[in-house]
Amino acid sequence: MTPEEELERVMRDVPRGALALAALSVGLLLVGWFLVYLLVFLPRGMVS
Amino acid sequence: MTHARRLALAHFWIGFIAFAIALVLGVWQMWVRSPLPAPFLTASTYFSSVTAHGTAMAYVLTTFTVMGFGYYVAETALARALPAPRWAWTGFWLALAGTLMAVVTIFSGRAAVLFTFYPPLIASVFYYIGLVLVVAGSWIWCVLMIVAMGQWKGANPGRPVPLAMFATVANAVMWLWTTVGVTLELLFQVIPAALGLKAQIDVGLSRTLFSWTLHAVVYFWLIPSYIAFYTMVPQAAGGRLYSDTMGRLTFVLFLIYSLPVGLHHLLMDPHQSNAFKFLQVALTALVSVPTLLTVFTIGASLEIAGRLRGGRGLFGWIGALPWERPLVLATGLAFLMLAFGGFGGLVNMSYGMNAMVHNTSWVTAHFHLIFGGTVVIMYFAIAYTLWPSLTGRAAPSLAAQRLQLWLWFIGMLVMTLPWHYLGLLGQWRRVATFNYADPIIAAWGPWVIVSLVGGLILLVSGLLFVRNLLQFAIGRASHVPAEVYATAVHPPLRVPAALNGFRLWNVLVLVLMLLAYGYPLAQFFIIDPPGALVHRVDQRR
Amino acid sequence: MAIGEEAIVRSELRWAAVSIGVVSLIMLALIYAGIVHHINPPSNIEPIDPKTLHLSGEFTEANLGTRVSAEGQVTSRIVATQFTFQPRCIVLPANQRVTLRFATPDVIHGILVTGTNVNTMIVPGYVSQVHTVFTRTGELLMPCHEYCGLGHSEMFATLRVVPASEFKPDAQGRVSCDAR
Repeated sequence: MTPEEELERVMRDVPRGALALAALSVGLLLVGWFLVYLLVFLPRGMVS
Repeated sequence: MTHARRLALAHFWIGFIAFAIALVLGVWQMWVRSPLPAPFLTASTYFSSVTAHGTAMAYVLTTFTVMGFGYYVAETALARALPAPRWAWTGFWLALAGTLMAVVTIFSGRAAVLFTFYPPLIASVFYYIGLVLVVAGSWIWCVLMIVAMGQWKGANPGRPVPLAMFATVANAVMWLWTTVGVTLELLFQVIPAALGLKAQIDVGLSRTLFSWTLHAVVYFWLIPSYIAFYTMVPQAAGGRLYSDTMGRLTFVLFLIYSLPVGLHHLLMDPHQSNAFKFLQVALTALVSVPTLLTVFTIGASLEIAGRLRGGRGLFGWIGALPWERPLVLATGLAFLMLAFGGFGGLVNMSYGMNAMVHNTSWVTAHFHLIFGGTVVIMYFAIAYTLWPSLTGRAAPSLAAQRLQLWLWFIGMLVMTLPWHYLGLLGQWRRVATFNYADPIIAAWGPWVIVSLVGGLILLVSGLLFVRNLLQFAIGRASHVPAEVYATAVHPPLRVPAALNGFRLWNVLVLVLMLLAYGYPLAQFFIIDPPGALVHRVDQRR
Repeated sequence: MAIGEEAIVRSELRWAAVSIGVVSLIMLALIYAGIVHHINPPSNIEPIDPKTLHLSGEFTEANLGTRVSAEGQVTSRIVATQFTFQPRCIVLPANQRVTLRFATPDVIHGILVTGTNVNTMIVPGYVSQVHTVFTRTGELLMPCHEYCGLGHSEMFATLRVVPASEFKPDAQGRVSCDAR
């Protein structure tokens, strides 16, 4: 296969993996944020 | 050697020397704060050291690296000689003279105000003038970058500016906007006070002006890393850039959203209203968009490389990447640290939630992860990538480069994970010593020692970095430098004018800045709050 | 190339939409905390002259410390100055809404109270104000958390949170650490 055909071949799968990886990381980030929000921040109570 | 290459080498070396000195000071500061007895400790040595550490890392290492890298990109990406090299050298000498002036003032004990100034505390005027000279040198660089792009466009009508140069000019334009805040603060408030011309300072105004600069300055440091991600990493990994268009859009978004967000540094200040704080928090949330776009685009570019090398399945391409190449390894480690640092940053910017962590070690952990973990580790990788072409020699050992990058990653995590924890417990910032006899503080001691160990690992890594660069002197001569710039999957033939220049975006920045900072700055002239008396720190009692 | 540039840009824009969705969730949670739990930044644009605040008005020495008003409102007034707090020890009741008011005659300071959401900068020219409810009794640390000069490391106060039964104002409504 020529380099262009190779690229054509892999572009049939890209960006499924990148999307999965990015979604996984952002999902973990969101879960982490909400853990801090619910377990540390809100219990420490009101300030304004 | 061309002018641009000599310029790049000179700038990089000044930056890296400042970095090595600042690293030693940083480790000593952590030692002082730990329960272990430390030498040389007085309040004056400690806070002068903190001032030197911040100044060297945030102003010297970064500014010189950004400038040096810009000169390299302008010559190589545009494939033409740098315009007005004499002006570039003027900028270099100006910034170097300013650096020396500031450093001598700090080490004489007359500038213990930390790199973020804190008026009405006022240091010797030579500290501020030194920093103004550094900024003036960088302004020359900004103009040269804009001129270089303009000349190239004149010679290549209708063709898209190469992404690396487009991004470099985005940074130059952003830096001109960014420095307006701190320049106004220094020229109209701080320097007149340091000269004895003013006895009082409007502190709310000075803090708001500094906040204008304080967030965007981080993106100024960060953009060289992003340029490497977009234009060099896909090539180093053996793949293609997934999307050139989205790269351009990302750098435009950084230009727009890094500026009208600085009030998130003042969430705990009394003198700004919740309405403007909330507006700027909302805009801050949008800054995450270009960052997350980058994670996706670079992920997809690496996925192309991994699959071309035989990787299969949803995640199999990750293992197939050439991790033995320092630039690829640095990118992986940088993204991991960006995830931790970004997590901390999300908490910091979270409006009322900022109260939980403001001015605690949590914040220190966050910006060391972003700065050391995403900015500086990519400066290492950029240096490793450019050095063969700058010195005409091949690297004697890639293993030593990989070891250095791994040590940096491990040290950064060992140092900052305890800081996050201690920050949540309430360990506050900017003190030389803690009273470990207090039962609450005594419990922090072991974690402070763990973070000190992380600092020591970082010191070893930093010194190994300098050694690795010096080792190029014994590398074999190699006169065919490898191509560093990546090709996109669809190399751009034509791009919309909006994505080939910055006129439109400058208008948008102006509008957003008026909206976000217009009233928050104007209010000080409307309510005319009472001033605070100047407190000099440079007069020995 | 079979995969066109449009498909690539589409995938990017979809991801950008996801990103905006994620940060919107966070913004919604912050609005919820602000409105329902009353957790907001301590903004308080209330000018005061740092050069004269010790001479007259609420921050004169006699007014500092905790006071209970005739209506039962608990307010503590504290001056932050290089390099101490006046007073250095403050008594407050648990499980009751209290107000902390700070001012400084000299430079920038700031405070946090360990283990709580109490946090504010103290900027010369303004009164900083925090309303809160302490839920746990005991001695908490209230250090200066902003660099204020060479003595910054030695600048901290103690906050003593006592059960309502032990919180006993004197005839003027004053409660101090020495009285116990």
